[in-house]
Amino acid sequence: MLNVNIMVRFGTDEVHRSYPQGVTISQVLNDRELRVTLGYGDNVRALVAGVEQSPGAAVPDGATLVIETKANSKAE
Amino acid sequence: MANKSQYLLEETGRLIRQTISEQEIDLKPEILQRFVQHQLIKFPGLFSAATISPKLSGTVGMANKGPTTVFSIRLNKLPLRARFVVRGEYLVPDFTSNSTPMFLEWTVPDGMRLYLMVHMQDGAPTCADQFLVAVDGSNRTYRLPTTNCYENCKLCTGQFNGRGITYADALSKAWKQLEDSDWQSDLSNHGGERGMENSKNMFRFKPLEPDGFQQMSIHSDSWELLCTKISMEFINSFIVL
Repeated sequence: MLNVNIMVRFGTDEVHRSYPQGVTISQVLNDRELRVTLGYGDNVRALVAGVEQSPGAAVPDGATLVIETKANSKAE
Repeated sequence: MANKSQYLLEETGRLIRQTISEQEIDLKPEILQRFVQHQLIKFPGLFSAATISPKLSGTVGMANKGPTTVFSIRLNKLPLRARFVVRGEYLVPDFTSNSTPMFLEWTVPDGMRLYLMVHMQDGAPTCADQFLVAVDGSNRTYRLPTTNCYENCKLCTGQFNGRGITYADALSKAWKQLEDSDWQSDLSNHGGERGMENSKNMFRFKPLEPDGFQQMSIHSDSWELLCTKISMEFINSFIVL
């Protein structure tokens, strides 16, 4: 099976990860081990080359995925 | 175009000849302007924080990129105007309570650097956004377990008028807004029950006789465990540590 090898960055921390080809942004973000390693929460978005990626988009091989915190809306 | 040669003798014994060609380029102002406007420039220690308020110490830093200007004010104390409740022998915040608020100052613990970042409107001494950001020794950024603060550390400032005559004046208003803020229940859903419990382990005070309060150390192995780690390109780029 072919894999995609990517760099995932959250703030000053980054890790290399390998996933099966076709893995989506959402699947990477929901990777429990990745989440624990980098320390991000639920309310995040993923960017590649400064462009926000949709959750269903496939992660390109060799990409650097930058995870950012999103602003939540005000409580009612 | 002029060619210059230089010879380098390396420690390994290799002798290298470098040939450099030089040509002076007529850099038009328009080209220089376009280059400069995309450069992020930081000015640490721009002026004394006491200029903003005598309660502040240290210096204020500024970051500028094109029309975007952001100031970073390092805080040694966080003003907490909030509702407090007694838990055991300590006084801890209860942000969702409807009781009368009281004012306490919380001293930033060792190992934490706390910044009030003030983003100005493009080209004007007017506060656009304010962020309260905690930073650890590895320059990771965190959100404190407080209310009135979005997940990206942006403060909820209500109807705040941040217009100043000068940038220092605008920053004074931003500081006063933080000082006078009532840390009530807005955005308390952000961290959930865990967030509210973390606030009780971070902001702890012990009543003294006959009056006054003593701040207690945080109840955790590290302050980072009580905060939410965040990452925002805007903060990462413009904060002046």
